[in-house]
Amino acid sequence: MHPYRALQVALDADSETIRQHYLAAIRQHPPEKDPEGFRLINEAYELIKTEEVRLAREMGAKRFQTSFADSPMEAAVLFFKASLENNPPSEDDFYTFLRS
Amino acid sequence: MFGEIKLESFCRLGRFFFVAKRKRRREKKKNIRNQSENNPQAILKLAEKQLSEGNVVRAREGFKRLLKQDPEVYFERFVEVSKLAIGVAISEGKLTQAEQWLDHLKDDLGVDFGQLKTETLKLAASRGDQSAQKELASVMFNSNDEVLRRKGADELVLMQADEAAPICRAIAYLCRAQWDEMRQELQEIGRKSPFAHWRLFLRGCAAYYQNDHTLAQSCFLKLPDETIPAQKSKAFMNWREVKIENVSESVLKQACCLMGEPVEFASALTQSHEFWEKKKYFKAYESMKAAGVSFPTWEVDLVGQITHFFQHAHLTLSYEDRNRWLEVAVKFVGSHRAKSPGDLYALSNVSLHSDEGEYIGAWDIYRENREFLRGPNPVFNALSWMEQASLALILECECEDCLELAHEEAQTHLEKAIAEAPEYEPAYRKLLETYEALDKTSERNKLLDQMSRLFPESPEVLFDAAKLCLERKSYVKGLKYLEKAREAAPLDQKVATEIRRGLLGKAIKHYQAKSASQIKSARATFELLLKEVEHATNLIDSYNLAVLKWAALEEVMVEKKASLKNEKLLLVKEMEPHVVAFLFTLFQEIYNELLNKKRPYKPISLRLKGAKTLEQAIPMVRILLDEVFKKKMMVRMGWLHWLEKYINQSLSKLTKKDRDVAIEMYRLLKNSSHCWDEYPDRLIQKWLKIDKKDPLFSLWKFQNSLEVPTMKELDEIRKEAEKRGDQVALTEVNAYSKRFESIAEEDDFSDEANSHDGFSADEDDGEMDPHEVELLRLMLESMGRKERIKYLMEQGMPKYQAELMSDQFELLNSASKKVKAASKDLVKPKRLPKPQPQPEPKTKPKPKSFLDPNQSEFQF
Repeated sequence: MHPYRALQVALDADSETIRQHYLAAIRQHPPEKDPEGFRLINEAYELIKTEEVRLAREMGAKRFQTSFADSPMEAAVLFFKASLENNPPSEDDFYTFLRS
Repeated sequence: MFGEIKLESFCRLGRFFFVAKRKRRREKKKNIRNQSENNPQAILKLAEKQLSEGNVVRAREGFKRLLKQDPEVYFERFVEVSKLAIGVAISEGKLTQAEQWLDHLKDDLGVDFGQLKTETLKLAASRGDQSAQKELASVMFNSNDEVLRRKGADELVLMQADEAAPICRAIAYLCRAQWDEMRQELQEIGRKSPFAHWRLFLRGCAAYYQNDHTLAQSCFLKLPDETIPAQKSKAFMNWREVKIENVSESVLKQACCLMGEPVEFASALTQSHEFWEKKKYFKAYESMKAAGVSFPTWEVDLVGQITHFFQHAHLTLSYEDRNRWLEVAVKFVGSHRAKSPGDLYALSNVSLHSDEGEYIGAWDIYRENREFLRGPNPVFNALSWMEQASLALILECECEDCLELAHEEAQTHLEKAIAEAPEYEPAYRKLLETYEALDKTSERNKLLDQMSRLFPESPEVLFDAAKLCLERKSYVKGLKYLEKAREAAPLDQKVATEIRRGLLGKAIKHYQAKSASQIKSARATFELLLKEVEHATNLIDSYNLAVLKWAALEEVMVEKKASLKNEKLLLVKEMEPHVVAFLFTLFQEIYNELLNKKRPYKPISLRLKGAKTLEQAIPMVRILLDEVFKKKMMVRMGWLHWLEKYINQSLSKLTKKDRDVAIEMYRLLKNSSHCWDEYPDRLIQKWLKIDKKDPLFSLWKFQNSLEVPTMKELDEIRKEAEKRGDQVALTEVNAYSKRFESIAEEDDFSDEANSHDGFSADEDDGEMDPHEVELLRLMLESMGRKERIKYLMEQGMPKYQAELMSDQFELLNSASKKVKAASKDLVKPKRLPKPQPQPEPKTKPKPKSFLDPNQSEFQF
């Protein structure tokens, strides 16, 4: 899964920013309304909540990798799955999509 | 000669007639064909048939021929079919052909432009004429055909034409996530409007973006198939539930479009995926680079995700494939083919996980390029050195020398980590562990002091320092560190637990010194400890246990005269027996260690002895049975011996009123992991003395002794149970009878059943053939212990019995072998003289029964 995308934070966000985004995401996806989303958010937060964890994950420490992708296509699907906040595209992009 | 001339001319004449006849036949056929080809009915029939089959072009040819024959009749039809053919040609992209036919209609046949407007517009639109496209869309929109109207509506929306203004406004609101405004805009569009399917589509999109996938799907399913919204709705997948096999390049493109990701990435990704599946890993990587997007990257986007995948793909591959991928990465990095820092960073990251990675300096390359791409980060560098240290400790050979070398290597890396980030605490802690492993005490102590200066407020550092001190029994120093840790982290439970352990250890140490002053200190320490445990919530650290420990230490370590008559210690006597037993089992290891004995703690046993009724004893026995069987064998045997004595004594308290208790005790003993053959028997005997005809105990007597009751005996038991209204006994008797009958049915020893074998019931005395016994013995002997137990369990024996029997078998077997071996050396004994009549021996006093309430067997 893509924890940064799930929490909508930049790659170089610090721990405090990540925490703020996590709390906002929890409010948007409470467990009683969206249990699956809630679970994904918590999973994402655990993966990047401290600097050590973020850096270790980047280095490839296995204990910090979850939802391994077996192929590039699966990696793309995992990325889309992590898109909890499906924001609509811009108008131009939408028309491009309709005309494609 | 005349004959020859005659023959020749005859042949010529014959040939002439033959050729003429053939000619006439051919002409006749031709005439018939010409007649049918020129037959309008036949042509019309054929043309209609071709039209119905969808072969419009051929049908047009047919009507063209008809037109030549009879223009008045076939003109309209020809025009109609030509228009169809033009439409087909345009859709197939044969624009020149379509134009030719159109010109033929207009110029040659003089067909009115109005009739050909649609086709003319279609042609122009296909050539990219925007005004023609718009006009065509309007024409379709205004037609009477519903399908055409929807098609026209689709085109108008895509062109953002005025007629589609409400839909376009709704789309704008959708893209700004203004759901209410969008809904208001769509309210104006009725169900019969040509834009009705767009209303449904946009509502579905809004539901999708608000994560209501159920509503979204229900809207999308109602869309008419041929419309653009229906086609586009397929891109709105519920990605949380999607399967990889359903994701094609087109779906990926649409998804990229929708989510604002580069669309050109989709085909590169598909290609890369194909290469990856074929295990052409480097080609997969290169095809991503050729995509024209900035790959590799570390942004939070799809390209970043794919970069991440390649960096960590080695975690998901099989062993062989992983090595292949690592080899590729190492070669790429090691040969310096990669010039871009991005590639170096990505692939050196992969190389770290290969053994060769270290030889090519993958770690240094990784650190260097990361710093270049993402800026300096001392913590990252420290972490990377720490990771190297961890990897150095993963060894194949764990002999002392290799371990020592590994730890020394780890030490080097960790010192570099500290040099990179002098304020990074975890590095110090790792180095501390390494010094411990290398037994470098002075370095460790120095480091600990350095850490306590650098991180005076860090509870982890203080805690580690304290733990080390406690392990080395420096309780005073350890407790000081713990107090500081508690100040820094007052809610940290592990600190509180360690304080309690520290205090206990300190108290025990004082008690062990045995001097009066030390004992005074020990007592003071225990007072402190009791205050600590008041706040504890778990059973292990409970107040009761602390009191129990104190009481035990006082009893064991202090002479009776000097022992403390503390009111708290008197509480031990007030505790429920089963609580005491349970708590004691937790503590008994300390007690045994202090006394080097394996007997239970005396006050416990006295307390248990004080259980006045069997009912009070049962919870105790239950807990003790549970706890005992968690212990190791040697400790267990000591406990079992004591437990047997205790059960003995408990049974002596059995009275007539205790039937339910007796039943419970029987079941407890029967279902325990230990094989209590004797005590269930004694319980039954004891009870049957009180109540001879008790049906339940009578039945159990048979079951326990492995005697097979007769049907008459079973019937008597059943009648007694019915008479007493004892449902429990009745159920057990009936179940037993059923089982008994089914066994009897299987082993039919009747003469009729076995007469063909020459076997009769009279000859069978129930014993096994000695030959069979020997075979069984040999079979069991050849098996290992586990195998034997498994075999016995398969024969229906409970596990504990199978284990016991197996152990007994082994003992007997080895004993018999020893006897056999010894007997070879024995000399044959001489014949003994006949025994003389002996005077009657004095009768020995009967041993006192355990059931004798006056006798106390309960001794330590």
